[in-house]
Amino acid sequence: MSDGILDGVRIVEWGEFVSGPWTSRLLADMGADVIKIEQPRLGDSARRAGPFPGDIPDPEKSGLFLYLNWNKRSMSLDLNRPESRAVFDKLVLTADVFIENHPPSYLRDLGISYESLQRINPELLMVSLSPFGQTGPHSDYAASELILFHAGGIGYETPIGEVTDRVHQQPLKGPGYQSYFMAGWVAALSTFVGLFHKQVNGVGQYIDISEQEAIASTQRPNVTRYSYAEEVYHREAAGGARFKPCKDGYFAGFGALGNDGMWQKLCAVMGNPEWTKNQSYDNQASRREKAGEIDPKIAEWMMDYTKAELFEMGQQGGLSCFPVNTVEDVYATEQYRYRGFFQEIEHPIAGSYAYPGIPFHFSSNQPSIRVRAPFLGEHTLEILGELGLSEQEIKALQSAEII
Amino acid sequence: MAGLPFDGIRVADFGWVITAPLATLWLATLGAEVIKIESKTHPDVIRAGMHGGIVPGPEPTWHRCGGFNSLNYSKYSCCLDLNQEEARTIGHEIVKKSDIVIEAFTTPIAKRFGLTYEQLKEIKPDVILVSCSSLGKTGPLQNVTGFGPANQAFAGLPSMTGYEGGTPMSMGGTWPDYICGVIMGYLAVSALYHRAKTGEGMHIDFSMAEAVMNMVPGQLLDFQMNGRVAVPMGNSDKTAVPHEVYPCLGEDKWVAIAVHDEVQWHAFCTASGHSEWLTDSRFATFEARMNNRKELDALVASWTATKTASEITETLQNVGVPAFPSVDSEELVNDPQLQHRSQFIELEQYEAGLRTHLGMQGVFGGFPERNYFATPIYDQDNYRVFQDLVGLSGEQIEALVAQGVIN
Repeated sequence: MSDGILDGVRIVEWGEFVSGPWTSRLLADMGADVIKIEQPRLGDSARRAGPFPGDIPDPEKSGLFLYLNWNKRSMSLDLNRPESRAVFDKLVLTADVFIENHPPSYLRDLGISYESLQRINPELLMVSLSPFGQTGPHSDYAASELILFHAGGIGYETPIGEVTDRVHQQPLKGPGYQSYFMAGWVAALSTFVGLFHKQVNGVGQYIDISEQEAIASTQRPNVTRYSYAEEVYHREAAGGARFKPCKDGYFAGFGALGNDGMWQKLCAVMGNPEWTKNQSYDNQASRREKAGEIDPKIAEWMMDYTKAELFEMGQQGGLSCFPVNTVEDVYATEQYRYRGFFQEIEHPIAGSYAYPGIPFHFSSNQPSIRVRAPFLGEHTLEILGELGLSEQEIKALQSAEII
Repeated sequence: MAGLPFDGIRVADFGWVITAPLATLWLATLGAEVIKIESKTHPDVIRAGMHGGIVPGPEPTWHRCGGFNSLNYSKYSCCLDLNQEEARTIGHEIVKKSDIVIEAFTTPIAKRFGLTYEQLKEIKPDVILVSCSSLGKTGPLQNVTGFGPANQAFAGLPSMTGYEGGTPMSMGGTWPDYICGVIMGYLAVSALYHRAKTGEGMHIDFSMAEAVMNMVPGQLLDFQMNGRVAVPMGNSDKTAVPHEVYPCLGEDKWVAIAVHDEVQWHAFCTASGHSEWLTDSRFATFEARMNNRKELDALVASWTATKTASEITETLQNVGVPAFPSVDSEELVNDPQLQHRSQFIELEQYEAGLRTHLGMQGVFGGFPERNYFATPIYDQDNYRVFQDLVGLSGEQIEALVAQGVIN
């Protein structure tokens, strides 16, 4: 295995749930030594999120946590207690990067700021993620995935192009924690920019990431639709459902609306049935008018075939088309298996599962999964030892329940 | 513009559509000199007006499409018809003088244009090449092409998106092209970091569909752990109730409300003036509220429907309950928080005039000002690139234009 690009870089992560831990995990995959600070006994809230094997909650078995925290070491430390600060300061002194995603007011209350940490480590790079950013009129607003998704404008256009009754079909959020993942990607990119700058110029800095802003960055074309054409984009149907039912699920890409070349290819794929030989179907504009009679006939033909069969026929016929895969389908997809995307990780308490892995291949220095997610506080003693604390000092922290 | 991290870095940008241009937009606004290598023989579909709004005027739309302009400001443009041998040679000269190369073609086309890693390594051993494609550059489906909707469907996202109990639907935001642009930017910076440290180049092959699956680990692992196949869930959440988008005063106006615990539930009932819900047996516990979710949602909706989304937001945020309007693009552009963070920039665009565009994300203490300037029109920088950088004479350039090599 080749070295990671970030070998030798130390990141201290004080993260909760998804966005902060995702940021540092991406950098951990590149080889960074990530030390995760967790609240003693309680731990990161992702430990309580699941999914859990057999639906039985256990802080060491949460799928979300195990996914977000591989390649890291866990240290328990109660930053709410002033006595923790001496250890925290020692840790910050050894760090190249400090990443956190707590509410801005919480950090203010604890007296943790970039200025205070820079006094300890002048070259520190610090990255904060928060719902709306560190300053500004909404910086202390409460949020969650649902709130961010809609505050970022993408909710208003979801489900895109599918809605026929806007009074009764409300804007939707996407599945899972898309805003938090998006924010984590923006933060990881920004952190790497900070690391590049630090490597070249030897200086750290403070980077302030807003989760609302990250998800709103998907609205780039809607900002210009408004500015260039005075259009307010929404989720109303733009002609026919994107996904049509077939024998074993849903499939996309076959319909009346394509251009003439696509229509001829589609007719060939269907075996040029009699009904397609209608002259009024020969051009795109008239097909658009008659979509109401053409689409049901295509749908009727599709019901005889599975997603996989339709995909193969469509691909061979030169059509851009695709199956609407379920989670079961994606695990069975040969393309993902060939690329080794899903990776089996053994965990002594949770068991062995195939996790979604690394979506890019490097010709050298490949990012990789080196070690499973840590137990809560698994590396506390190891890290305190590295920081040079004596056994006596460690015992004192233990008995005071700081660690 | 002094003191940006990528000052002095030159990018040869052969990418098009959304993902690759967004990746190089990050580099450009942080100081890099991004040279777009385009061709009028095969215009970028976004330049040709595919999305993002068009200022009315005569065809073609090349310089008046908002989608293109907001993905390509702060860059330079030159034109080469890479189907021609001489154009490919000039393309290679640009690569030799660049720090990083970006492309988003399928392998057969990249090969034809001389832009595979093997081809580029021969002319520049330490080249950095970052490639993105729908499903990756290896495997049986490596040459399948598709826009965002295809990628997200292949990755399983629509199967879990839509109204509860309903058919599969798509997320908005031209998902996932815009997120993949951020990821591709991340990959570009990591390769530049590595080269600054070691002097080595590399090739990065990025699969957009795999990146989509990275964002729904809970659903994938629930299948692994419990055999459960995820389906559309609407706005609902297993851990919070009320948790929905409710109608407000006005046409198609909505507010999102998420009540996560008992403290927030008490605050919510009190602030909404419905403390009677606190003693209603249908809503007494979290389990009861979950079981009677539809009834509760109907009651909440009858409260929200009499007020504006901002009134509801202010009332609930004042007592610490997460709430925010489901904003449309007009409201987004006027959002005071995003404005506070300088998210909207005004650029004077050729033919399109002074327009608002989304700026770049993140507030960097080290370099508060980004490098923003207008989107290049086709050909605008032909002399800058072919004469000043590649070293062709004015006569040679004129001849190549006449031959259609520079086109």
